[in-house]
Amino acid sequence: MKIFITLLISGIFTNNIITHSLLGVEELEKSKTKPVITLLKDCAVLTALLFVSTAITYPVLRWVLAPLKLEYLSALVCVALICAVIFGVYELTKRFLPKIYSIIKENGNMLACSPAVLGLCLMNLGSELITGYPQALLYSVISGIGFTVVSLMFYMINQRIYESNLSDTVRGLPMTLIIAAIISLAFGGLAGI
Amino acid sequence: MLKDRQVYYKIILSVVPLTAVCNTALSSLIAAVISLITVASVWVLLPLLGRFLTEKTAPFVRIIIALGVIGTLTLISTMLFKDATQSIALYLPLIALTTVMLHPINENTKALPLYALKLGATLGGFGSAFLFLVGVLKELLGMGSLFGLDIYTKLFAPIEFFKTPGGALLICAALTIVYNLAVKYLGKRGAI
Repeated sequence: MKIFITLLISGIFTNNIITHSLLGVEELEKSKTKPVITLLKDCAVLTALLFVSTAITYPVLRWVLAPLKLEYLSALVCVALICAVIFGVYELTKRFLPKIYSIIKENGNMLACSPAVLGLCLMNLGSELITGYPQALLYSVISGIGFTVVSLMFYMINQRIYESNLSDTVRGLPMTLIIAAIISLAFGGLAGI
Repeated sequence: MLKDRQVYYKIILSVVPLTAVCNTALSSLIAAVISLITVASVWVLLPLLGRFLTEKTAPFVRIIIALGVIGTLTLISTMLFKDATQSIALYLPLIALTTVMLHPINENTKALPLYALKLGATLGGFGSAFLFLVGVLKELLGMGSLFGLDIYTKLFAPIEFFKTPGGALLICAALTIVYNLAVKYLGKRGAI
């Protein structure tokens, strides 16, 4: 239970995939123009991708590459496995779950190429919190939830800012980065927990 | 196309993850050089391989080429600057994804190698310069030093916040605003 709570607080707040590792900031920028439902669907797809890619890559990295001292191949192996997983998921959902396929085909490729997926797979190995396979799987889901929380917070803040009278110089990406910095600062305050 | 602000925004977004770990000017310089060489070499190699690639395979070939270049450069960099490279090594493979993020820009994969090199060097150069500037400002504001040399810590206390990822985001935002102001100013003067 203690490990679960630690992973939960770490994944959602203190080591959030967006605000702490800065992986997936570009998704925030894209989310501004999307309706909430599409945003939630994208977050669900990304969470599923994080889970599946961790489930596939973690055993290979931990139990195959590390004992053979081939860690320098981690990135290459991760990319190859993630690509294989995505093609597999596309084919399976296309055949058996057409409704889910219609959701993932829209943004699946871009989300798969998101640094969040590769970054999390690579960082799982070096993390002190992740001591085994179940923790890695749990952490991948929690990271996805953390991503969703920040995306929703960002969406709500951005809705209010959109209506305000901002200069062209600040509107757009600079404002996205400032909002992300403030959320990062707020979440960083929970580090003591 | 190179005057398009959205293109440069995309490049800035692609280097943002690296700014989280580039805490010193030296580490950011290493990351910037690796990023520049990787992006430029991918942009040169892809047109040469263009005739053998399809729309579906091109992004993956781009990642594999980028990972090969990054792996080689990381190895060289580790031999020269072990500590600085180790602190950013985990994030370096993410540069490979930068090239995928730049994919919509690089629609014409059969462009001439020289033109592709020029374009790749311009876009890669902008990203690398941005990354280096963020590293310099992070070290200067967060640690009060530059390339390990003490600048002002005896007079003022450095602001710890700028060492954190949140600080990196704020610096990125400030630099983007400076870029926007520069574009606006140069646009008024008719320079671009």
